[in-house]
Amino acid sequence: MSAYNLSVVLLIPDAQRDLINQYAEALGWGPDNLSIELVHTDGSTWWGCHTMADEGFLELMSSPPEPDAEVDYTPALAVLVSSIVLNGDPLANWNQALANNGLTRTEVNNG
Amino acid sequence: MRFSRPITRPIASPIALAISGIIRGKNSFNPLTLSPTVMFDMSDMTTLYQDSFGTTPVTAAGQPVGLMLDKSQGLVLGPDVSPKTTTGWTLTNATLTYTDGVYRLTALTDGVEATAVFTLSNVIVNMGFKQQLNFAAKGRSGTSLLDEGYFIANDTFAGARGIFWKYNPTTTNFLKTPSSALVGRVGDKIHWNIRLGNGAGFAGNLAGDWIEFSFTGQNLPGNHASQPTAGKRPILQESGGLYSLKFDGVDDALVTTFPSSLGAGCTVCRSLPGTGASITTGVTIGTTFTDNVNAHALLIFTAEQWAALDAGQIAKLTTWLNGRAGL
Repeated sequence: MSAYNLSVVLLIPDAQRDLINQYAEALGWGPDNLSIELVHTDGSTWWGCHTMADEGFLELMSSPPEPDAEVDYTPALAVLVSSIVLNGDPLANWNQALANNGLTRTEVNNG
Repeated sequence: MRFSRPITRPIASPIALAISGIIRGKNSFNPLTLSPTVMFDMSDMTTLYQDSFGTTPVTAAGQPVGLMLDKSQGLVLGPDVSPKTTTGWTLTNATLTYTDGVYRLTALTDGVEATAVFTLSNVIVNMGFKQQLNFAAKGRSGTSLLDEGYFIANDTFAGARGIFWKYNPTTTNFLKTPSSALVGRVGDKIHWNIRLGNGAGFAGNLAGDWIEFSFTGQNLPGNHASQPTAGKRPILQESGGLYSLKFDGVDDALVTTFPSSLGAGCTVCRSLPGTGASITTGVTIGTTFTDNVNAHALLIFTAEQWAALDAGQIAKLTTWLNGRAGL
């Protein structure tokens, strides 16, 4: 059994949000994965998410698959920021990743 | 008289089992007797699936939960509503026969996709819907002949979801074991779409190519909770033999959509890890309920349902919720 013991935070600038969500959906992860609106210290808008993942996610991050030959996801993958912690506490990882990247949450979003 | 084994054993064993059952919340009281609108029981793994379509069961703690079935209506499948006839199908470049529960779709022309589409009239899925498909045989063996399965969708095919069988061009045998999925959503209308083609665009047919298939479709009443986005699914957690959902506190959530608003005065009951019963009254719930609270069990009562309970029933429910938390 794969253990979902990786705490994963993903962050991306607003300009690449649609493309990275399109990429995630192409991988079969469903729509709108990065859905939490964030604001950078420079005033720009970013988006983020947290999920628990298994070790397969590490392989994916090191060698991203190309689910759709007609779409170049490179621009989004190139600026995607990740924070992956084994057995990490989700909220602690999330807060630390935001702080490390000068980001704060603009609103509470539970869904 | 002499006993060959201690008499305490057959007596103590049932008592121990009973005590264990009470500790686990498995005493004789069943919350379904209180007729809640929703009952989620995270310790019942048969109600949990890793994906929102219900194709991959949760088999152990540590796995994500994308669909959680509501037990409030008994989880009893309704009658099969598949057509069982060739009447009502829309055919393109195809003929369709139906014999002894098996359909056969046959292509009419070389190089043209053959399809059969059936739309159930007046059947709007407002709860769960379970369908099962089995491709039984094909004509013209030895080629990459077939694509496709069928799906449930909303009123437009553009909103299709729940394709749960699809030809894999890398395999040499298209036959699959029977597959099933729970794919209904509020407002869905059911379409079944069977396509005969090859793996490279559905246009590789020769006239006379055929497939045989059978399928069923049954409602599964209940206000089921789901999460289509993989990154927002909670994890099933186990501690001391007790199961609960663990949300990440960031963006995880399971969403239940009701056929109509539950209104004001609802009561939300949870069994919280380490705490036990948590009963919140006076909650207004519209047509959706978003859950992101770690719990062993969750029940929702409308104002009318809660008002109908007496103190004894609420006390039993409280004990049951505590038992689910091992308290």
